[in-house]
Amino acid sequence: MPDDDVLRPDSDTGQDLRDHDMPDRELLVAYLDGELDADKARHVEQLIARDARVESEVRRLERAWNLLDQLPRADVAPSFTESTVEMVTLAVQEELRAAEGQRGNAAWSLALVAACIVGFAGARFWPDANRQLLRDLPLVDNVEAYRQTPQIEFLRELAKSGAFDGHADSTASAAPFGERKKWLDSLNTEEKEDIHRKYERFSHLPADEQLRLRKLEATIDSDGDAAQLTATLSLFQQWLEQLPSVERAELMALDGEQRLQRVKRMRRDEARRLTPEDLQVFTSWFEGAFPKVLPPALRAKVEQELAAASPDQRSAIIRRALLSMQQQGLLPKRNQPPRQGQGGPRPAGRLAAGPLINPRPLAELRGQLSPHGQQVLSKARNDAELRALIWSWANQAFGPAAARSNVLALPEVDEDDLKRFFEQLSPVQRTHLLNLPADQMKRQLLARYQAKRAGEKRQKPRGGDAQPGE
Amino acid sequence: MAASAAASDSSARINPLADPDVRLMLEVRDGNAAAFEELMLRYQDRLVTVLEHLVGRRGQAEDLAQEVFLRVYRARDRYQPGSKFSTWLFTIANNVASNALRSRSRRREVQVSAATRSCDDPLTVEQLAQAASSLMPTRLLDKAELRDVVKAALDTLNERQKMAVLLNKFEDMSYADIALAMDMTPQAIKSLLSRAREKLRDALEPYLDRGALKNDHA
Repeated sequence: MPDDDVLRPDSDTGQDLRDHDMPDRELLVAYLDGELDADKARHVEQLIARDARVESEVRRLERAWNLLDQLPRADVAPSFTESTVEMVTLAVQEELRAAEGQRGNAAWSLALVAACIVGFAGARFWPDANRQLLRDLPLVDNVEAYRQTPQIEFLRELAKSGAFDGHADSTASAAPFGERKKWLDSLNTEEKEDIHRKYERFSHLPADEQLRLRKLEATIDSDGDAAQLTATLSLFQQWLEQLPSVERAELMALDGEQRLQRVKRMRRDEARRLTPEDLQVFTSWFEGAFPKVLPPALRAKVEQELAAASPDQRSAIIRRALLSMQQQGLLPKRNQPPRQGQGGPRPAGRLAAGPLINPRPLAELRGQLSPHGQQVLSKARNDAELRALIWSWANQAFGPAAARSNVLALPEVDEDDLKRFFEQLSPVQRTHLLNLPADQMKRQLLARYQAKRAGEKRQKPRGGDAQPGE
Repeated sequence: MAASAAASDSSARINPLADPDVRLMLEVRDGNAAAFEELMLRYQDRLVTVLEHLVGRRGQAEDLAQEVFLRVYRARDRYQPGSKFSTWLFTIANNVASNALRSRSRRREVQVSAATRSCDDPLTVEQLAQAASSLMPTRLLDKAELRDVVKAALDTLNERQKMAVLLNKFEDMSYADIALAMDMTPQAIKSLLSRAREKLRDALEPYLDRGALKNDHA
C-alpha cells in the first residue's frame, strides 16, 4: 500500500509541520502513546524538563487528544443484534444450499432478509400507532412464534406431536379488542417495555411479512381447534424467547418441514436432559468409560493424563479429547447446520460408541441414576437411540455450554457494581436481558459490563493531564 | 504523563490464546454459534462507533458493521489465531470501510461537480476555523457545541489518519496492532499518527486554552 501520508508534507495544509528547533514530533507523540522503550521515554522526559517549549507542545498535543473523548459512542439497539444474527445465519444457509445446487427458496429468503434490514434502518409512522398496536396485540405478543410458523399445518403438527403440551399462561393480549387497552394499562413497566420491544420487532418486518402474519392469525382464529392451536402457539413463543437468538435464526433459516423436525428434536432432547445430580453421576461414569472408545494411540494418552489429573482437570481432558474427535470428523460438531434432507436425529459421527452401550457399563450407569434418568434411559429403543442419548448427555456434560462456565468465564465482578450497572442500562436493554434465561442473562450482562469497563479504560488518557516533567 | 512501554509487538501476537475473544472465536470455528452472538455483543457498539466516525452516517455504519460480522462468520472455518481478535476484526472493518468510501467516492466522481463542498470531504483547517467561528471559542462551550467542534476537527483528517486515530483512541490499539489492521508498517503508523495529532492540535488550538466547558467552569 502506498504511504503518501508518511512521505509527503501535510497534504491538506501544504506545510511541512516539522519545526527544526523542536525534537522530532513523532517522538513526542510516540511518547504520549506509551510506545517508547524506557531509555527513549527518559530522554523525552529530560527534554520536557529542560525546555518549556517542548513541555508546552507536549501538553497541547495531549489536550487536543483528550478532547476526542467528547466524541459520541454508539449504543446499538438490541434489534441490531437480532437482525445481524438473522442475516448472518441466513447468508450462511444460503451458501450451504448454493453449494448443494439448490438456490430457489434460499434466494427468496435472502431477499426477504435484505428487505428486513432496509426496514430496520427506516422509521415507520402509523397514523394511529396505539390503535394499530391494540389491533395487532396478539400477533405482537407472539411475534417470534408467528414468524416461525409458515402455515397453520405447522402449528397443527406441533400440537399433535405433544412437543408443547402443558399449561399456557393466560395471554390477555388475546382478549377481545375492547379489553386489550385495559390489559395493556394493567402491565407493569417492564412488561410494557417487553411489549414495546416486540412491537418494534414486528413493525420493522417487511410489509409482506406483516401481511402474512396477519392472515395466519386470522386463519388460526377461525379454525375449529383455535383454542388448542393458540395455546401451542403461546408455549412455542415462550420457548423461542428462551433460545439464544442464533438458534432462533438457525430455525428461521430452515424450510417448514425441517424446522418442524428440528423443533421436535430439540424439545425431545430437552426432555431427556439430565438433572444436575444425574449430570454429576454421568460425568464421573463417562470419564471412566469414554477412553475405551478412542483410537488406541489417543486412548493411551488420555488415560495417562486422566490418571495424573485432579478432578477439576479431568473434565478439561475429556473435553479436549471430544474436541479432537470432532476436528477429525469422528464426532459431529455442535450446532452444525443440517444438510438438506437430514431432518432426523444427527448421526453420531463415525466414532463407535459400542463400549459405552455394552450391558455392563450401562447397568452401572443406570444403577446410579435417579428414577427420572433411568426412565429416560429406558426409553431408548435400540442401540442407535442409546448411542444418540449417550452422546447428547456427553454434550451436555462436556460441550461448549458446560465449558463456558470455566474455560471462558468472565472475570469475577463486584455484585453491587453489576447491580448498579444494570440499573444504568436503558429500559429496553433491561427488558431484553430480563427476558433471557438466567444463565444467559448473566453472561450477556457481564459481557456488556466488561465491554463498558474496557471502553472506560480506553477512554482514560494514558498519561493523564499532569504537568510534563513532574 | 505517558508511561513508557515496549512498543515493538503486541503481547497477543506472542500468545493469541491469552485473548479470551480469540478463544471465543475458536469456539465459533468449532461450531458454537452462541459464541458468535457473544462476540457480537462485545464488539457491536465499538465497531459501530469506529465506523460511524469513519463514514459519517449511523445507518451506513450499522450496515457496514453487519457486513463485517458476516465476513467474520464466513471466515470462521479458516480462522487461525495470529493476533488479538480485535486486531483481526478491525482489519476486516478497515477493508470494508475503505471499499465503501471508495465506492462512495467513485459515485461522486460521476456526479456533476458541485459548487459547494460535500459533507463527506475532509475539512481543511481553514474551513474548520470558518465553520467554528460562530461558536466563538472565547465564550464557554456547552457539551454539544464542543462535540461538534471535535467532530469537525476529526473530519480534517483523511481516511487513513482517521482510522489510525480511532483505533488508537477508542480501541487503545498499539502501533503494531494498528499496523496489522491497516496493512502498514509500525513506523508508517507512527508517522501517520504524528501527522494526525498535529492536525488535530491545529484544528482544536483555539479550544485548548479558552474553550472550557460550561459545566467545567461552574
